Amino acid sequence: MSDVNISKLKGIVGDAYVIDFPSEMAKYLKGQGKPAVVVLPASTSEVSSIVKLANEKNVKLGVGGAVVDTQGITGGIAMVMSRMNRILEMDHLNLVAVVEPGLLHKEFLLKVGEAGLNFPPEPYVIETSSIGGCFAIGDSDSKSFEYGPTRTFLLGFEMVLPTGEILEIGNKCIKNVSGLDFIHFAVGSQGTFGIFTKLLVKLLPVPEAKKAVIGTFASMHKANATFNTLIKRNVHPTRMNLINASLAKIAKPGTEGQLVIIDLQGFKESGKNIVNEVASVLTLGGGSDVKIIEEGAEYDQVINGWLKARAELNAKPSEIVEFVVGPMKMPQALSQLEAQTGELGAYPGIIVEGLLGYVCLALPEGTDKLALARKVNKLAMSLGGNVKGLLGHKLKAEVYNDAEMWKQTTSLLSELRQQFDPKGILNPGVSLEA
Amino acid sequence: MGVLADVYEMLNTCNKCGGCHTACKTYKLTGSEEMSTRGRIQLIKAVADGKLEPNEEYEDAIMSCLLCGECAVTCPNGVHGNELVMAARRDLKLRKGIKPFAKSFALKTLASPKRLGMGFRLFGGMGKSVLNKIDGLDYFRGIDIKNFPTAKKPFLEQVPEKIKVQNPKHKVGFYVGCFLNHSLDQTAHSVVKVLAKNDCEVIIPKDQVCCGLPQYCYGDYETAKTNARKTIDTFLDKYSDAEVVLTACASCGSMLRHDYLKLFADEPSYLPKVKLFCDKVVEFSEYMAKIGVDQSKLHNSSPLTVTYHDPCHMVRGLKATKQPRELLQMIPRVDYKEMFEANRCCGAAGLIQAFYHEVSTDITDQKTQNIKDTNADLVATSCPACMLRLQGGINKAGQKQKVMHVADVMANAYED
Amino acid sequence: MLSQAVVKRLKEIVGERNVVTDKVGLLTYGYDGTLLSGEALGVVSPTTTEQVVEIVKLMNEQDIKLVPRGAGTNESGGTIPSAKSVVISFTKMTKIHEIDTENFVAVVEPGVINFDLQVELAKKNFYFPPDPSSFKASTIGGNLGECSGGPKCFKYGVTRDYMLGLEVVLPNGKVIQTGGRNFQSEPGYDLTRIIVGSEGILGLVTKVFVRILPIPRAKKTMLALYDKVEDASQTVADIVAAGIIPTTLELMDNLLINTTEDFTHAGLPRDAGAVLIIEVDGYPEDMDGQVKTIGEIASKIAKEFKVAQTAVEVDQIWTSRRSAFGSVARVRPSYGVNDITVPRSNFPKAIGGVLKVAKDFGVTIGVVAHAGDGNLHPLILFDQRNKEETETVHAAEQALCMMALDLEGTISGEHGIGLVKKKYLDKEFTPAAMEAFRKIKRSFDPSNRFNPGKIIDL
Repeated sequence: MSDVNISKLKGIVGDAYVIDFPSEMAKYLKGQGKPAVVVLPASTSEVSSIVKLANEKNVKLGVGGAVVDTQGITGGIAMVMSRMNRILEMDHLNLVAVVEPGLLHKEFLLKVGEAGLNFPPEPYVIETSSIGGCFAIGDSDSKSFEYGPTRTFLLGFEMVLPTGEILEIGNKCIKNVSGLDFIHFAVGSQGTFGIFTKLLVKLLPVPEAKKAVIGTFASMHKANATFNTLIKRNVHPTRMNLINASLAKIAKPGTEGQLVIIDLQGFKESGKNIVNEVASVLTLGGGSDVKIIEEGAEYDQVINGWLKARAELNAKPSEIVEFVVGPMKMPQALSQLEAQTGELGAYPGIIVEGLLGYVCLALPEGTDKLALARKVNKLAMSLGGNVKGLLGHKLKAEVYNDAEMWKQTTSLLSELRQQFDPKGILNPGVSLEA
Repeated sequence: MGVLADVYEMLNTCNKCGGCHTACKTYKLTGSEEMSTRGRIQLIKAVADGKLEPNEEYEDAIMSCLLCGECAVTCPNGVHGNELVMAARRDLKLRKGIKPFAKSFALKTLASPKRLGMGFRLFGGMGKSVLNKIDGLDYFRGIDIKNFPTAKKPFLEQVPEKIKVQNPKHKVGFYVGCFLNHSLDQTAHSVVKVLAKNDCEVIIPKDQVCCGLPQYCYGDYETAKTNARKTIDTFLDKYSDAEVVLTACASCGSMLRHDYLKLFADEPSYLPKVKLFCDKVVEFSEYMAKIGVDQSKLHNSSPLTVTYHDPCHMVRGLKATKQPRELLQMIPRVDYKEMFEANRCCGAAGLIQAFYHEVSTDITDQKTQNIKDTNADLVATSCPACMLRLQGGINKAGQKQKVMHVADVMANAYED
Repeated sequence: MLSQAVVKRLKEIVGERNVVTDKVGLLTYGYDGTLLSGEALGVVSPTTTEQVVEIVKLMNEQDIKLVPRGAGTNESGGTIPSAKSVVISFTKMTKIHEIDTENFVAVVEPGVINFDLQVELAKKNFYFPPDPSSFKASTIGGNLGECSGGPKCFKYGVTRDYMLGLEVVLPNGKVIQTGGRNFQSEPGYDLTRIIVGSEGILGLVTKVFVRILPIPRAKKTMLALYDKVEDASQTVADIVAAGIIPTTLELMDNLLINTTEDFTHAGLPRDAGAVLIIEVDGYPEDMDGQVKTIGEIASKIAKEFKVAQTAVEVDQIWTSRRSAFGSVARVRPSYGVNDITVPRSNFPKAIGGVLKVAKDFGVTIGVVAHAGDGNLHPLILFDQRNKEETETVHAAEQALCMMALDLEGTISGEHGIGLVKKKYLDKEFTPAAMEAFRKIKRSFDPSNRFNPGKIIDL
């Protein structure tokens, strides 16, 4: 039997927002766990009360924007933030917004766009990603070379701690080094330090111009070679991305071959010359159907296509392996990778973010992820990189045969988590062991 | 305390921002705060405040300063670290005399023409032949002693007191200085040659003495004054027909032109004469640039890549940086290349090279590398101490460049 | 006093010359850019990570605290030795391990001076964007410890945005690596970020992977002169509203114009109320349009607007700005540097607030500001020999901090907290946030061994 006190929960958020019929719960959940209840709070104080309630009986609590990962919360509470979806403030003078965490990322982008402003981080999964999730995961994306990774855009937040206490931090200053940098440290903590209930987000002016160049290539190697050419020519666009043939069809239906998408944001006058330079490099590099795309519907289509392909991989984190190498080391990386994957174009999905030296592989069914990750890590390390994330650190320590370092790292991480969440209530499914 | 009280305003103006770190070579190469301008200033202030009794470590901090003066240029507050160090050295001298014995002996020797001459002859004769027999002793405290040049006899004994030319346009008094007199006599000859080729009659007083800079730098103002008075009187009284007092040593030049005024600041009766003298002092390159050199007389058969090292006393003392470069570039087929940090100390810094040779050697090594990076065949400069230091460093690094005085480079460009 | 045995062991670890225990040496490691001072038991300057590990272990064994130090140019008191501590000076770890321009990364030791790195990078046409005014003297390790800013933050961000990965010696003597050498933020706890700006209270950084960028193909430096400081802040607001992101929007008031002129002779009119230095960078084709727009915006209010035509002019402008702090000593011998930041929209109010503090306390204040960031450095002029005046200055400094907080700002934009602002920290942060800082500190350093007493008390 579950220890969740349903009636108290109903008292906090109202009957309508406590759901304990499995059939109705399903649309809010993903994964194998079986939480006892889904609850949808509407305010910070409600979130705080729910967490305090969970504390009374040591009930596990999982949090999500629109959908909650149920791992580790069987018998516990799944908290869905979708009712906390308001934009509380859009401050043009300071270029900041105050947002509730349950607002969908795509909705936020729309509203920011309407306000004539720019929020660079890309949505993880187009339909379901929330702003809270965006910062809880805190990744980088293909625009990060120019704009900085997601954390760059968080100036402060309100958070309900695992004890139910409310913590507020940050201000509208774009420069702030006061205290320890808990603001940016919380980005990427995946809800283990607390639950975001308000986010103070940094915005930018809309880029003065947007343009894109696309082209298709017979091989991944040839396509990638054009990136190196551009970097050598000191051309650094906003995005410089490559999608392999299997995935390219999702990004742009009807694409034959590997798709290159070069995105230029903000290059007002220079963009006119740069797009031509880029187009020539792509053409001379063996690209076909090379096309310059001006700002407008077609441009949006191209970018959305990229986001779609990206989301395809993001949606299944357990079925991908990501690694980074120096951007200029990518040709060697791809050649060596081919020995593991077979012809790159035919692999279920490969994405290259050229400016960042980042590769994401969608694994074929039945792949031994860890085994592949080990091999990939070795090749990445030989090129000055590694598998991304905590897994990468673990594998690196393996390669160095430095169990001590890995032990130190994980014990430090769990100590931090323990300090904030001594009872281990919040998002127990999040692993710090890789 | 009096000496430090005089500079207390300046001590108090240091806000410890550390901006001078970048200027201070002894800090940059050691990474030790007590070897930095800021560190030295704070130590001096602690002594002035009575919070620190001068001890051996304090003396080291104060004595290891190169006095290159770069900190004074860098400080936006207008704090002159080198002047504060000078005051601290004077303060030390007044407290307990100059120690250790070696330093005191060296300074006394320099001050006396007789002793200095004897020292050089001894070293040039017996000393070197002994040294040459000792294997492995090529570099004594970073100084290339086996190749340390010594004049067979002092330059002053090699030349007449007056060197006449046909149709003289100028009369130049030549203050030779110890290094050119005893060590680099060839350079002294070059100076005379270039002057003569440019229609200058050269007057070379036989009884000139050390300018007093070494003693002044170590706080022995009394000896420095004695020598300064002698120098001033010699040139103004006995050789008053000399239009200028020319020196080819930037350090002597800076002392003669600027520091004499400070030295005699407390003697109002003598000061006007000092001022008269100081106004007459001119450095070789400054003078040549001023009177103008007839470029058509300069010859040079093969292409030559030349770089220039600014001696501290030239760039920050006399503030002359353009003239030597212009002169060098007047010579046909000279390809002039600027080196990185051309205006930074070469590591010689008077007696520093002997007494703080480790840091001094590091500084020289860096300089030598900067020279190498220019691919120059020849390094020109305007101070004999720098010449010797640089040549030593270059030889030690196994590089090929030759170091010459601007006067030497020019003299070579005139047909005999 | 350190025992002979400890001194001996320290010398065995780092070598005779890298241990300081004499009074003179200790005195020079007792201060930083602030008015504070302290005295350590000793100073030890390691040259390798292994030595750092050995030192940490030895100090733990002896129950002696460690205070990390770079060049000691900070304005926070972050490197002032605490009681019973040994200073660990990183100024001798000065190796630039690697500059990899193809992959936008440089690997350096913490004692590398920011300027020295810039010189090496410039040879390859690259640069490291964070360049605090102290950059000619301050170390990368120190920049990292304080999370330094500089004039380019408006476009390029602060030090934290350029740290890719770190090698860190923890208070228990173990070494970890955070991040990596590639520009990729990772999901998960961002240890790199929490260590940046932590002033050495969490760990000792022994290797730094920094992000480097190609020097922009073009830049334009402009000057706008105003009758009043408020007018300049209007231009700032208008430029941002026009969607332009300059690299730099630096402001100096009349007092600073005059003191810097004394030093640099850059030709700024001494009667101007304020000068705004505006710089944009990017591709050459984009420069003219931006300069034109900025010129139009500025000229609406400015009494004069000009674009620097030569490299010498640009250099002069920057020499003025960079010497701003020091130059005020020409008016009074001492100055207190403040570092408050407010949201950009409150910048004019903050300027008003500074004037009010000056009036209320009867002190002279000059203002330098990174106006685009809302970051003000009011410089309070005084003479430290006058105890009473010094007390007044401290009171004025507190008033400035409170004023910034009233305007929804922060007490530190780029200098850090250290000892100087520790006492105001709980005015800015709620008890829950203060406790979060303690939780972090406890996780890293439960026995409070590293730089104790800085930022927060356990």
